[in-house]
Amino acid sequence: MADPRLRVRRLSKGYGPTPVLDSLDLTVYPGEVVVVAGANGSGKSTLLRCIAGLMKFEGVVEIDGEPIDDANRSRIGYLPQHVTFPRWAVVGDVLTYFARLRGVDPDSGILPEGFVPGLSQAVRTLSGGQRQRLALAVALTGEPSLLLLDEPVASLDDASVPALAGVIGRVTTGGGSVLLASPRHDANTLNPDRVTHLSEGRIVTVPLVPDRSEDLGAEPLIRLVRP
Amino acid sequence: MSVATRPVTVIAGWEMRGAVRNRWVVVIAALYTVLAVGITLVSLRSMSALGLRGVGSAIDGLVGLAVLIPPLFGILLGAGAIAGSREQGMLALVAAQPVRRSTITWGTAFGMVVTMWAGLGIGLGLAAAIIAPAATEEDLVAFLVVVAATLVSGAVGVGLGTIVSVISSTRGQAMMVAIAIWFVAALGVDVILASVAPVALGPGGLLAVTVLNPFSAIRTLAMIIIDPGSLGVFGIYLEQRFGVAGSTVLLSGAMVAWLTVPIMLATRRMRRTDI
Repeated sequence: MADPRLRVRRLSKGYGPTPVLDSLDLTVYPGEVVVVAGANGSGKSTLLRCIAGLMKFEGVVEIDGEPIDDANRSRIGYLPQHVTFPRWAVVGDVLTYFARLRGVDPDSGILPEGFVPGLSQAVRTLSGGQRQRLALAVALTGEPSLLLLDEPVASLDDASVPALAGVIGRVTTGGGSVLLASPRHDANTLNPDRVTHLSEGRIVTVPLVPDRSEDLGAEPLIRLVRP
Repeated sequence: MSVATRPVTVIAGWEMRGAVRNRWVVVIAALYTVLAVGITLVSLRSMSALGLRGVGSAIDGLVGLAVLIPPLFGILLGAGAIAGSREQGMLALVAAQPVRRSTITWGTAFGMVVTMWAGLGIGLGLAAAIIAPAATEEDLVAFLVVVAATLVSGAVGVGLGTIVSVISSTRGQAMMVAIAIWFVAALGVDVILASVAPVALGPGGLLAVTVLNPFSAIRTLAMIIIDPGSLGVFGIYLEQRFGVAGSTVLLSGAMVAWLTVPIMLATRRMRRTDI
């Protein structure tokens, strides 16, 4: 079995006295798409933000066996739930900015033609779905090996969802891993390998590959079968 | 451009591009330009009407302006930057990149400082052009002190604004706190210093209050170099206690602290704060 791409151990996070994540364990393998489903306020976004290095927490988060730090965060791409790009910028400005922060070329080459709006298009003229696709392009900059997507289909129209599924497919085919936060109703739209459920701060998981269940430490609720 | 550009420069450049499109930046830069040119012209004409030569009164006026408008300019720029970015979700996207939180703080502050200096440069340049025909070599030194005081004053404002921005939960809150700090530091303390403080505090207390208020320190530093006599009894105290050189070193040290400590505190806070 391959070594885990992402390993989360005993992760706890609270807001003041209120615990949101309670000694949570989660493992994601190379080439895997894992959905973290759960009700609003269950801690899905908090989990992704902790992994992305945006929040302090108790516990251990490792990528390829190393604790995540400022340097190896280049292996992670993060799509927040909400982002508003500055109105003065054009699409090319945004892509170039984040590429330069990562020290890479802006064109990741992984996105299909037309997925991202034209480079000279003003950000203020983009629709919600176009902004979401631009944010996804930012997350894919530098071809990260772990992609964290916080409710990626929330602002997308029906036609864009298969395109996003295609992008995720390309990421995993190349050995990348994807961790998605998603409400329960659209958890299956992006062909996940596993759907895990976040409840009372802990993961209740649904493994597609049975022999990984021992790593995940919970009983399956649903068994998914790829067509 | 090379993809190997340092992240702090990349962030500073991005912030500059955003700031120059901010209407407040344009309004305050224009206000400073109008006031700098106006003060210079009025001062020179007043001197001329009295049959006097020299640009001393224009220099005094520009020193007064240096601790009034540039701090407002800087503190508003600094306050709006990180808090605004957090509100838009951009801060989370930037912080998720392989860059240190300190790089974000310093890069943002550098971008704001350079933007502000560019805005102030227009007013200073026009004032210099008006003063030049009537200025002596001594006036040139005084004018350079005015330029330094103006730029440092604005940069200190950016530092104070940056820490306000990091601490505040919204951009609106940051802007209100920033205006309150500017009002107290740039206006309120001077009123106190000019009225009750000299008697109540004594010269030592007055020096402490001056050092603890960056804008009072800048003005005192500028005046002790240009014309120590204009500081009255307090100037005599500084000269006797520390000498002009000693006072200059003391107040310059205070300025270095005011330029760096707020941004260092903002960086420390940024490292410990959830985004």
